[in-house]
Amino acid sequence: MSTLLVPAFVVFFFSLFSLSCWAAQAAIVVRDSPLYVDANQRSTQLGELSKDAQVILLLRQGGWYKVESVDKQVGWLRMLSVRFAREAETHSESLAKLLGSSNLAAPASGVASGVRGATSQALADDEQDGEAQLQQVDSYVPSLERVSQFAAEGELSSQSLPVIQVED
Amino acid sequence: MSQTFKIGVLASFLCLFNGCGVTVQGIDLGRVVGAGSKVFDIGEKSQEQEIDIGRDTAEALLSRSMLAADDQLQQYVNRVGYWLAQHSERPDLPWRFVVLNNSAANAFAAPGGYVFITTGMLARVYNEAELAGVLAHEIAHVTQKHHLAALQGQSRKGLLGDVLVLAQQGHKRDDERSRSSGATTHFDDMVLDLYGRGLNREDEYRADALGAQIVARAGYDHYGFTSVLQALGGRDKGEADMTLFLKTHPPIDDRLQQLEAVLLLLDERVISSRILAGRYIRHSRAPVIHES
Repeated sequence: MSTLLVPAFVVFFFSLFSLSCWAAQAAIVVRDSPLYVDANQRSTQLGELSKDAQVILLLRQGGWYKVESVDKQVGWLRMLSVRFAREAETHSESLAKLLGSSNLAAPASGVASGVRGATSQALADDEQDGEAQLQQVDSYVPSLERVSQFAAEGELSSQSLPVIQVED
Repeated sequence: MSQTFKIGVLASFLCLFNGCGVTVQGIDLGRVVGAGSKVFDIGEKSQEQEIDIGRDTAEALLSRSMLAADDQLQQYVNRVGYWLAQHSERPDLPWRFVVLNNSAANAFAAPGGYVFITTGMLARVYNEAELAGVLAHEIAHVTQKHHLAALQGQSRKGLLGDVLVLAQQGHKRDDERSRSSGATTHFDDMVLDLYGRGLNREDEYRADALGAQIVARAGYDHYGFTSVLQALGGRDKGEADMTLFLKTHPPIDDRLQQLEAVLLLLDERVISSRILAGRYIRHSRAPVIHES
């Protein structure tokens, strides 16, 4: 197998893992909210979910979640119309039923992906050499050319957006 | 008796007298102390002074925390952070992005361009847009000088003098003292106190709103931070690795509610947005954990 295929497989595997963990997330609707056919408020409304309704989050697209309701309706909800159900809430009968109907695995202790093994590290209470660590931090600073290259690799493009004033 | 303790005792006495109308031998001590506190209010710091205070703050924080021993991860987080900082109001600051080896989910900033994120927070992030959201929130705290103002306010409140002088004195004592003694300077204590308490709610709401705008200008999905907050909000409050985050930040539901208006405005204006899950996973999946 070529050396390029191995990292590609690892990324693919972790992407699947990440998606499956996330996709089975149970959530609670925080206000009466319309359920749409697409992730667009100009699309057809399928109905309305009431405050405190329980849903399973299937997918996120921008500020929208694709959800499945207790009565098996699938549609799109505004992202801020829901909050994630806490561990205790996922044991409620309707949510457990919803999770059970999903062919995806439940999240493993809420840990998604990323830095493996980090949770086993104890808090560093001991006094460290702050000055030496600060010098090491300085060594990680990238050149602006490298940063631009990094952005281009990720197809990130700057957008000129007017400042939205935030009230104090 | 240590110098720090003496200053503390003196400050406590002065605070007790301040504004209490206590009169000793015909002199209103409250008024004297009130006038004295104004001497310490030296107003705006130059950018150079802010950077000096920030470096001392970062050193104080790093004397209590260990860097994640993964150069690739540190460089990656710096690249994301620098790209974001170029889209902030203060791209010219000497930005530093630091991954700390700590299982608690947290991120915080120090004046002058220092941004810290824990491995515990990285473990709860799914993609680069979410990481960008967390870093941009902290960048906003720096551009708005929230920690600098809090440190200045703290030094004035305790009648301890100017924060810059305190930082410099703390730094000088660092050089002179034995590192094995475990002694802390007054500046260290002030820094640790602030980072244990957190900023005020208004500063957090403001950083949320400005952070979303920085992320959008840099071309990332501006819902990344919302996604992180929602996930953290789904964690049980009693979990040990969430305690400090929840203690030092406003309730997550309130933050999401405050943020909504800005996100909806950005929906109308943003042309493209990237999530970059694959690149995040590739860089963060297997750090070398430092054995202490």
